[in-house]
Amino acid sequence: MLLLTVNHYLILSGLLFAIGTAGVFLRRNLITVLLSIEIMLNAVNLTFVAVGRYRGSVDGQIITFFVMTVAAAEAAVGLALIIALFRHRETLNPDAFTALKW
Amino acid sequence: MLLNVPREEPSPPGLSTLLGPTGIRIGALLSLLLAVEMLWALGRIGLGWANRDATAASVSSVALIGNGIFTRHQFAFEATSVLILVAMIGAVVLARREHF
Repeated sequence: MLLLTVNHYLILSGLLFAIGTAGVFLRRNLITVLLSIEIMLNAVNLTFVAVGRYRGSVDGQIITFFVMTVAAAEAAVGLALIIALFRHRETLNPDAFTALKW
Repeated sequence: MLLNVPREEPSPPGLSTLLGPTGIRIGALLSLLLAVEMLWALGRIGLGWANRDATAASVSSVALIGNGIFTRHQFAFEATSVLILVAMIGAVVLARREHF
């Protein structure tokens, strides 16, 4: 019988984080980029819970609680920003927003 | 797809050929490098494939989590409420229309 150890969770978390970065790098849509950032945050949450369980403490789950609340705030502000940007430029392509680029 | 995006908009011209169309090539390379690096680092630290004893791994009760949140992490909990309030106000201000 295959027992799930902490390394399984860490490998899954690393792969999820890499998938999130790939989404941020490759997709040319602001909403998809925001979703990829959420995937990365959840990969970090998985690491916290796995290592906390490995060490036998609940601190991993507590900090996951805080990460989830901050992610909720980030999603709300991010979606509001995307709405404002779409009203301004009528597109969701991040290549269109280069006004602050040197 | 889930987001009902038929196709992504092409990027404006001017990107170098090294980056590929819309910089996809170097993005894929960077994320692949990140995945390989993280797997390598996980192999190095060696947390172990062996299971620990089940008693140490089974401390997950709502009472313990609530106790931790409301005693040791009290300040972070309260600061989170201020953060949520600021995020709510910010979202409303950012997303409203300018002129009615």
